[in-house]
Amino acid sequence: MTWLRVVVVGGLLSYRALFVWLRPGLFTATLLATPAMQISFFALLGPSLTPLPLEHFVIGNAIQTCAIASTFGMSQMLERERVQQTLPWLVLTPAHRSAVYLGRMLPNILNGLAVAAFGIAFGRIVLGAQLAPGAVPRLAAALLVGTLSCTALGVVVGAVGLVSRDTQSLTSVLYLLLLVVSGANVPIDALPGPLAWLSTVLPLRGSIQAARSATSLAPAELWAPAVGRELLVAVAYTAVGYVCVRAFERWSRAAATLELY
Amino acid sequence: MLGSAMRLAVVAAAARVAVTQLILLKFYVVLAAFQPVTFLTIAGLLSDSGPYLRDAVLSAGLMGMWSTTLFGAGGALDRERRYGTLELLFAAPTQLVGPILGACLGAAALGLVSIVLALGVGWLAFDVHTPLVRLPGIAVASVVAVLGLAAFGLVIAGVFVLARQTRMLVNLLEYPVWVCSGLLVPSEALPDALRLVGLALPTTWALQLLRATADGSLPAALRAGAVLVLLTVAFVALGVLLLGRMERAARDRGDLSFV
Repeated sequence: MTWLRVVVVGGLLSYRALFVWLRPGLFTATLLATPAMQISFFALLGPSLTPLPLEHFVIGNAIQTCAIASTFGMSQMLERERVQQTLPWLVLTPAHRSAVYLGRMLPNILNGLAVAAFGIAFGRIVLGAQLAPGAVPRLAAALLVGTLSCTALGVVVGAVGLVSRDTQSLTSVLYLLLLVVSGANVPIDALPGPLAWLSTVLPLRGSIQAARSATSLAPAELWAPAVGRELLVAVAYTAVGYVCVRAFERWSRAAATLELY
Repeated sequence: MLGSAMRLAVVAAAARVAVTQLILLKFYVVLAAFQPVTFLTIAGLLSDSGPYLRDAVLSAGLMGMWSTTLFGAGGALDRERRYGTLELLFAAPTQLVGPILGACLGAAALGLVSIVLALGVGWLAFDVHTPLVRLPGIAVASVVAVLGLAAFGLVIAGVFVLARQTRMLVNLLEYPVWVCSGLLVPSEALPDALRLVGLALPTTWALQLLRATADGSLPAALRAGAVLVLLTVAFVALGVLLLGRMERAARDRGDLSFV
């Protein structure tokens, strides 16, 4: 019960604390307007250069933009603990670390889901993307595994934030890499070797493929393997992130750098 | 008040300081170097059309220039506030517009890195060759683009200068300017309304100027250059007006550090 309380209440409080200085309206606008603009940009660019349909770019970018909320939000949430001088208290708390960090993941997972769902709705309503009806449950599952893996990647980046001053640039680089290698815009089979390899170790490839499969843009039988692949990526990054957070926590304590930023 | 030579010296010094500050921030390195290369890579992997890729190289360079200008100009006074030098800047015996224009110029000048990188990556990865004889012309056109974008940045600074969440706000202007200017997106794919908005943006004319220079078309380059210079003058005038009003309002309210 205590574990669950730390997850829910702790996560909610830390989320509110992180954005306490930001006006909610502005925060929401940023979270939704940037994805809408990115989707519109590629919806104009993609079909004018390739025979790929508008829906390919709407689905791909709607899911890729969840990384703004999930990866960026998660990494900033951990880094801000240090900036706001609350990291020592976090490290001292007797609560189990899995509850502390899972609590911080939950709001970002929900945010990522909301952003991706908004992106798809925007593509459908504003840009006129035709998405197969009845695809919602499979599409939702695809979005969920995508936001899970992006949030897990954010834990890894956030762990780096415990020992490094600047994770914002790292997150920006990762975001731009995802734009190229996730299959959001460029089909995976058109990627050169090293970029194709990167697509296998970074999040979203499976999620985007599953979403396209759910909306009849790709064969239906690809859905399950794609979701499975993305789930595997999510689990792997969560494990790596957890190990990194614990290791960097110990390192920061040993080097007495917990409060330095 | 200062003479013209001293005002220019203030602008030049502020530009030098801005470049020095910004290149130390990895975020700007990502904006100037990694972002344009990413977008060029996407365009290059989606299309193998030679003429389009030539345009994409120039577009990617300008996209980087716009991003550094936007974030550099929008956050100009915010940086001063964080460094604790804002009050000193307001108290200095010079108009605020000098240091801010310098900061905008410095930020836009970082975009020259984007253009050089885009030309390099275009050549190495996508076989887009730019004849050597055209490079001096492209260099001159890039400098004119820096001036145009810096002037537009001055207006951005005048609008966003005292907002606390500057980065959040300016974030919202990155894609719209790319789209309306036809950067990377072929202009025939744009709705008429967006193309119309693009006519008032320096990035649109900077792209036309660079394109005409790369093609070796002097009349087209002169026409685009003339429009860009006119826009530069207009934006500087508007920026001076906006910053002057903001400066007076901030002095009246006495809340510089608390916005």
